[in-house]
Amino acid sequence: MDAFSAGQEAARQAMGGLKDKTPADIKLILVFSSVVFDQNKMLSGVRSITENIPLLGCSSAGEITTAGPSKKSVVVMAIATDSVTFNLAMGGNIKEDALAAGRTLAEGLKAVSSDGKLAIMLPDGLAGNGADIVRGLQQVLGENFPIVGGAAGDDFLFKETYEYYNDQVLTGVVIGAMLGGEMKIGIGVRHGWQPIGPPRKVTKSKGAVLYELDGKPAVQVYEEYFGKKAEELKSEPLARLAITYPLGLRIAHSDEYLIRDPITVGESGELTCAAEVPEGAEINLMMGSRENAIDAARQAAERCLEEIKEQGGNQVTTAIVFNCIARSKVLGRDAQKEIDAIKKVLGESAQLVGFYTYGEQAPIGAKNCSCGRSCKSEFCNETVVILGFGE
Amino acid sequence: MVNKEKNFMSNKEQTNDQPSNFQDLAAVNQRLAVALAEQQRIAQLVIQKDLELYTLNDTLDRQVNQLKVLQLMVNEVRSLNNRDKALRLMARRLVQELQFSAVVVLLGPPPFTVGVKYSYHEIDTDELKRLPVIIKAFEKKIVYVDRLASAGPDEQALGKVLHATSFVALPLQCHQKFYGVFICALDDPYLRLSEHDREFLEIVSNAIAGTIESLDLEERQHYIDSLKTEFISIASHQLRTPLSAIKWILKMILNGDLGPLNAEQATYIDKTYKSNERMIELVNDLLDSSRIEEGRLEYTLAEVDARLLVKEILDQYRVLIDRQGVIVETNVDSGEPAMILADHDNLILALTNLIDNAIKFTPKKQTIKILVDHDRSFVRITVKDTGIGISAEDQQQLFTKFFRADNAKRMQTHGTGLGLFIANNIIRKHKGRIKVESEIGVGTTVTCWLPPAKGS
Repeated sequence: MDAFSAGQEAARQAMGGLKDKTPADIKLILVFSSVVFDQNKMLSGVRSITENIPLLGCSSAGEITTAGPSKKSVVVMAIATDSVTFNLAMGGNIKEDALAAGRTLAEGLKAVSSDGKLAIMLPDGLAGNGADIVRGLQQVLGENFPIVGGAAGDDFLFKETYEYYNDQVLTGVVIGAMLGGEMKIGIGVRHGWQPIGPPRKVTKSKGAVLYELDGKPAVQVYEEYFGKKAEELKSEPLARLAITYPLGLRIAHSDEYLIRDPITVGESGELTCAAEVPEGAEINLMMGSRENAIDAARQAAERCLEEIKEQGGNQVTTAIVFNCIARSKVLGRDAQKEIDAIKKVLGESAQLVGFYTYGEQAPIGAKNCSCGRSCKSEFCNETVVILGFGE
Repeated sequence: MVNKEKNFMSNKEQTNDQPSNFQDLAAVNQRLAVALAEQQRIAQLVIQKDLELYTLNDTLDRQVNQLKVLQLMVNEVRSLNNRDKALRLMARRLVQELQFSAVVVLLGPPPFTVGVKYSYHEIDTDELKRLPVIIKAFEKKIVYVDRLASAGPDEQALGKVLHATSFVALPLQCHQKFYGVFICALDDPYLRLSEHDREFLEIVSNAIAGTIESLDLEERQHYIDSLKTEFISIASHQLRTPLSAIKWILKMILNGDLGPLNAEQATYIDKTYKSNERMIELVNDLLDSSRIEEGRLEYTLAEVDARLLVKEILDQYRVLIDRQGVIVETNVDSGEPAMILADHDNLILALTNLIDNAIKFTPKKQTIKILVDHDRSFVRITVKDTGIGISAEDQQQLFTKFFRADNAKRMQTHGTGLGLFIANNIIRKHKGRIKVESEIGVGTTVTCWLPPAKGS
């Protein structure tokens, strides 16, 4: 199928589900697409149906709908609501300055929305330090302002990822939406990985590049555990291994770990990770399993539903799932079971949309927020984030 | 706790030349180092075992999935009789269910035709057909590349055309015959075609070659069938001319045109005449059936009254009915016309076969009912006899060419086994339907439904 028709068909189906609504009732169009499609043609296809309704989306490494995960597809969701407002804004170039890119987005979101309650961000997945973008947003919106999102993917090719902003296909930027008005939202965040072996200290790092652990080249941690030489780990085996055994950053004053995926091994044994690893942090090798991953998704869905119930709601109507690509690689064919586990908790009423990301953003860590939720958002890896809208 | 404190105290007392807390710390550090080393050792063991099992499970999982899809494919393809459809279906399953990025089947010897191409990427098949490795693959040289970086330049060229990181190109071989080349690829930078994958794809390639062969055989079978039909048609034409000549000569002799016959001569000539009639009937049936099979039976539709059609046949059969001594009850002599859109001659042929059967298999003094009725949506013609009946088993084959029920054969009535085949075909050509209900020893009811002519 050609890209234009794929976009058009997906949009037609999304809009077809809301036949009783007028275009004015539809507040937001979400689009997640594989990079096998020519991005401009695909988006033109979607726009030929949705016209000028605000649109936000990005390229992905696998797509998610109520039916389950899919690959090399386009998914479109049209959100109709009369109580929630969605205001879109665009951040700056991440490569030039990730922190500033985040700040620009937050300022933009603040300018268009007076009663913002939650920000959704979709950063480019390959342009720069994702944690800096989150920090940039927090500098403007406040450290504990809830931020949820996922970094764009490109089907595991690691070449270039794209962001969709109304009619435009962009790359290297961060885009987002500010949600305001009356709403019941639940956020579930889990990964399911457990620390194994003794913890180590990050003695040298810069951004996402981890040079030394306990004063030794970082790759040694994998050499020791897997009994393989760094040479062997330099090609793709590390990426394969690291997906199941990523690194975990201990979050201060908490039992939670922030996951970091090492992607490549450098000449002097340094590991380049999918997000930043701060110097001085305590790090562990993490171990997971398919069962734990599926269980984590179930727990995330339960947490999401609980939060909605705490706000007086009783069901989830729509859920956006930002799920790490690494999880889909770990789960393989069982990726369907993970989505099924989420569906089972959220129930028949919930419509799912989402994608497999190159990094997730969600509130995790110290429970120090007045809203009762652990509100400091972080840039995560190997994590499933469920943003549910309830009633 | 108390004990420990005591120990601390005693330690202090024993080593008063060094700051006591420093030595305690050293002991703690030492213990910690031991514990950490042990934790590290255990973690190593756990991870290595876990990794081993994980890899094994992954491999088995992939194999199970592959075999399930293969099973599904083979079952699906079995119900198809079109090669291109079968190839498309298999390619789609491989790409959609097993995440291969490209499947191409090239048919025939070089320069090849494209049997199927299914991929997320643009693949230049003209370039593909010309690649030296593909031509070699057709000559039984299997191409298997698990990592593009370490492949030779010819293989790299194939990888480029396929947009793939690992791939196979296998000859499509079945019973020493070569049908083409099967190409299957992966574009995932982290997944490679393993030896197991290669073995699986060899099975798939054999399945594809087997499918092509059996569908080719089926095509040849169709060709043989058409030759047979043509032969019957020609032979029947050639037979009918002399048989007609014999018929008229026998008729002249029987009529005494060539002088009077004695009783014995008359009996023999009469028998010869009847045998000749049966031969003519057989040849006519054969001609009709071959016309049906070749689609040469021509239909000129006009509005006709079904009652009149039946009446016309019964008039022709009056003599035979009297001779058989059966009673015919019918409603065609009165009532409203039952108009249908039909080809007069062909429908007569179809209904004659039904009525002929009823008369043939009904014993003397028994009744045959021939009824025509109709409403808005159909015209129904029912032929109900009280004959020998047809067993349930035989009923299933009634419309098959040359089929004769066991009890019919035993009755020594003549017949070709073509009547119902012809009738069924003609009724269906009229967009009608035919149904046979029968019970052994009770009788048979044949019902035909035909669409009414518009306006009636």
